[in-house]
Amino acid sequence: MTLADYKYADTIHRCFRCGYCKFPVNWMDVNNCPAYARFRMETYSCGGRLWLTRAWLSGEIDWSDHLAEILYSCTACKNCEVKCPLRFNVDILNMIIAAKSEMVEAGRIPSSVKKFLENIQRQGNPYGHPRVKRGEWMEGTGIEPYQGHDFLYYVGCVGSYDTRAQEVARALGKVMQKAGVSFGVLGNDENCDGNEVNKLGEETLFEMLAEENVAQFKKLGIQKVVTLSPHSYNAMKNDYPMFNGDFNVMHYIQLLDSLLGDDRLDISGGYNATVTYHDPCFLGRWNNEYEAPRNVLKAIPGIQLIEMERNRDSTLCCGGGGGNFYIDLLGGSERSPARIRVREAHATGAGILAVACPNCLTMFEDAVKAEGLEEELAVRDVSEIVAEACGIRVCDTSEADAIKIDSSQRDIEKSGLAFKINDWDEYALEAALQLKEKLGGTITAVTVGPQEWNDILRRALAMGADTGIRIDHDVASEDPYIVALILKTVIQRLPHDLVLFGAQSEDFGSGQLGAMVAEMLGIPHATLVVSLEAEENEIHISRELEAGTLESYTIELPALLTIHTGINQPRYISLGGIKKAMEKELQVMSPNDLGLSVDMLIPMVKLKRLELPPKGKEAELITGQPEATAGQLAKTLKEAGIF
Amino acid sequence: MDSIHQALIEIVGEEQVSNRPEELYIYSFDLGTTEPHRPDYAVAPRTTEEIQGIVKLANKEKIPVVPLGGGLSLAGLAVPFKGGIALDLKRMDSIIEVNEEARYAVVECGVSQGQLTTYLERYYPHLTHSEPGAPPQATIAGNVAIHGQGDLAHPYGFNSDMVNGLEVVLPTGEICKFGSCSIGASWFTQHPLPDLGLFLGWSGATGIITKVSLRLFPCKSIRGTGLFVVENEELVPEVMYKLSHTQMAEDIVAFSQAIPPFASGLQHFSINMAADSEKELEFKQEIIWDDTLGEYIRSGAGGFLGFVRGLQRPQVSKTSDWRKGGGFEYVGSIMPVKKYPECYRRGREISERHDIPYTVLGRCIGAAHSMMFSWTYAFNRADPETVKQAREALHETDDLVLELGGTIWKPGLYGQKLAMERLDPNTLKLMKKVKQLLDPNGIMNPGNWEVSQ
Repeated sequence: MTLADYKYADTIHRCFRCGYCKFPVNWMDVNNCPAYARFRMETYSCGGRLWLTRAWLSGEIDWSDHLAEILYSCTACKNCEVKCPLRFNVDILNMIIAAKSEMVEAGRIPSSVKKFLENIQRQGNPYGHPRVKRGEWMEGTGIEPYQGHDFLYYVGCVGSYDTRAQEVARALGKVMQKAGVSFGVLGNDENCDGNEVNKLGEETLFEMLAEENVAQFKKLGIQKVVTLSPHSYNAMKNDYPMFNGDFNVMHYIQLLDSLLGDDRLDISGGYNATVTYHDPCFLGRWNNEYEAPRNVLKAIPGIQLIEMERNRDSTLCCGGGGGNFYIDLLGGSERSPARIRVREAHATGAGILAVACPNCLTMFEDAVKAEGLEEELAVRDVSEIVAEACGIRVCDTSEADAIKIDSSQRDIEKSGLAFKINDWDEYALEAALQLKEKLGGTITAVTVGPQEWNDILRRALAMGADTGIRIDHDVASEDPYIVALILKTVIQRLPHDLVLFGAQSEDFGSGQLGAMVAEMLGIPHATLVVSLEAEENEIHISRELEAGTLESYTIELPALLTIHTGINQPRYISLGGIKKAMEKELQVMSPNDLGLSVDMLIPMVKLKRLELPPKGKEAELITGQPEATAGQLAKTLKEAGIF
Repeated sequence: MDSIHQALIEIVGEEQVSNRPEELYIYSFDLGTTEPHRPDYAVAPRTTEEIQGIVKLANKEKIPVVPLGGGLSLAGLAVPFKGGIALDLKRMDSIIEVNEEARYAVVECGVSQGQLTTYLERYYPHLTHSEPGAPPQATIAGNVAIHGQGDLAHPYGFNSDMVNGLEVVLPTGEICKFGSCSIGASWFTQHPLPDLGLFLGWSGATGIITKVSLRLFPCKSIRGTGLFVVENEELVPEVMYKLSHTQMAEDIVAFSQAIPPFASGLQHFSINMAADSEKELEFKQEIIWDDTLGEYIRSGAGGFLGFVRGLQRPQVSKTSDWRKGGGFEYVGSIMPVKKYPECYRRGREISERHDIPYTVLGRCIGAAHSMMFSWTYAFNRADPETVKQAREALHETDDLVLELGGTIWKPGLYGQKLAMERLDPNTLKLMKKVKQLLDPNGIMNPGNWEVSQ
């Protein structure tokens, strides 16, 4: 991608870097860009980001991890657009997102962003938690699945999976029940709304999510949607219409405002507290909703509402937008926007920081702990405040187990799980791709496994492999020798200069396959390789020993290497890339096709049993300033005999 | 990691030092037409002591230090011409003190114009400062250091005239104070202690200003702008003299521009007035519009375009987008007021010859003792030809300033060279002595005000 191909090629040079974008609307502080507030280097300001984008696309600077982080540190809070006095301001975020899209398509994005997007691709949520767990937040609430109700209550990923945000999801559900609102939820069938995916630049994935959600809503006859999160509200209200999704979308605060106006909620229980309200970006600046939350809070007896200096369209973003509630490029410092904001809230004298966004909730709760203000400032969602004023008590539920052993006791329950390329193998594939980019050649990706693993091979092809081969054989709890034998037989039939394995697998972690296959093939090998450089007939490698020691070898080809993590940064596989990879060749063979009979595949090592570690009876939560918590943690570990 | 990088990290912390291509790229630029030059490091200190540590390191390693405030001088004054350390001072953004009785504010060097304006409006609404027309990210200290002028220039002069005291880190690392603060008193006056002339107007080549005590002025409750227009540029000096004689205005600016086309060739005046009552405002309006400008209005030589209440503060400028090009630069000069007509005519001719819509402006300083006259040249950052045209126009205009008997305000390297060619030889020698005394290793913003042998 060059500047000439860039969608905003005729606009991006118009930024003067005058710095207006750093100020809030009320000019109270020059650090209202959350990334600039965090890092205070010009590169992290909006203007710096735009100038760097132009420089990258025009070839003046190269792509780098640092450039990607600068770009992805943008939380899409919209302060810059609102503040820039020049006419191209409406395209500022579009330009940044378009630049992110370029990086996505090239697969060159920060690893945390890659994980975020891959998790959504696989499990419909950024955390990578199973889809079958999405509806667990509503257990015991009596909330019904949607079946023709007035409203779809769309909870979103954070509300569905984050334990703290789940409390808010339940609280809002209880409030709506109490008000007699007719609503239902999608539960496990709910999928990510795609707002953050869109702001992260993964256009194809966003389109897919939007189209699927719109189709689902229409199939169910949904006309009205009330969202927990302003992020969902923004996507459904402003972006879904482009996909023929014309629904009547409200953020819950607007519904509560309306219910209070119609006297459908008894809030006479009151809420005695001094409260300051934080305007979330996707409700405020993105959608101009500033008054409904204030109407709701002011209506509750006992609340004294105090404004922070930076309020309404001058709000300072919590730092969680643009996926940063997960990818966390702005954390780790007292200058993190969430911590700055919490200090501002505390300075008002309020005891409650009220929010109307689950992202803000989680960001600020962590910030309160980091600031050591737990005794002085509590973060509450407005729905929780309303719930308490209505006399509703909301119960916690414990987090479900992520893994269960199946009835055979030799495997795990796989329903609801989505599989991915083994981390080590991904590094190996990236190493192969980089060699191919430098020296030419072809890459064949090989796996041994059941039909479901075709998807894994497709991802390898999408990443850049030329051909994929799957040997159809169930390897669950399989003896590595058998798998090595199958692989050796396949590889023998293929022309090969270099065979790359991941150093081990994430699940069974035997770490034996590569060495076994090398011995079977009679070729030299090296394990735990952390660097490699290839020449025509030989390869120079380093392998990692203990304490970071490296030993270096030159090995003649053909050779086999097992690749360690960290040797490179595996590129992201965009949804667009996966679609294109459908055209590449994927062969499926059986061991029989390879001349391997059943007798030859009898394992010599048999797995007896799988079991989970015993559950502990207690957990200790250590809170406070880093200096204090580090000391306490060290003491606890020492007493436990760990040190 | 090289030893200098490591040493910088030890002074300011890892996150505030970078030698990565991205930071070096961004910090290589001025926002005008000056060619970029890469620094070796970009550093953002938080305290005077950190700056001191950096300067001492720079002396030891003989590496240049280039201080940067808002970066809005548009004259290349913070471009690292010889590499070195680009020192971003904007993290030093504390407003340390506002003294209501003595009417001053003490601010760190990174405090921006916008930040101070809003702070005063909110907490001290009866006090104000002289805000320049630059974007509000411009710093108080930077504006003072370049002898800037703001919207109180007519009654109170240059912003550098409004300084009660400075704290400075010398190029050799000592921290010095000037003004009453230097003898342990409050920061309320500069005089009669030794003056501050060693650090203002030197483009950061003699030291780094870390704190400024800035005089504040009464802020009246009603503020607004009246607009007046004449067609004949020859009338501008006399109008300005007459207006300044009334002592009724806070700011008197004459300007003319090609865009919008209907305004081309006309000379507009914006006249800021302030009052604490309707009675006072009416009185001032009467003096200005009826008594002073009435003759022009009645004769048809001038027109009153109205008075609008409320000042846009911080001021918002859209000049950079006039050519949808993201760029402009201007030559600022300090000129005798009587030169306005010639400045306008000659400047317009230069603009038109370079195919740039002309924009000129003259701000009355003091009792029309002088004016800041500027010629602005917009360019399209994506079109190198327009950048070249603008640069050529700027250099021609630098020559014009001196030809017309003015001085170049905040000159870039080209303008500095022109000025030094004309400077009194003994003055030049003294400048060289001062520079050598203060900066024996030549580390402070090298390239600027370098007196050749």
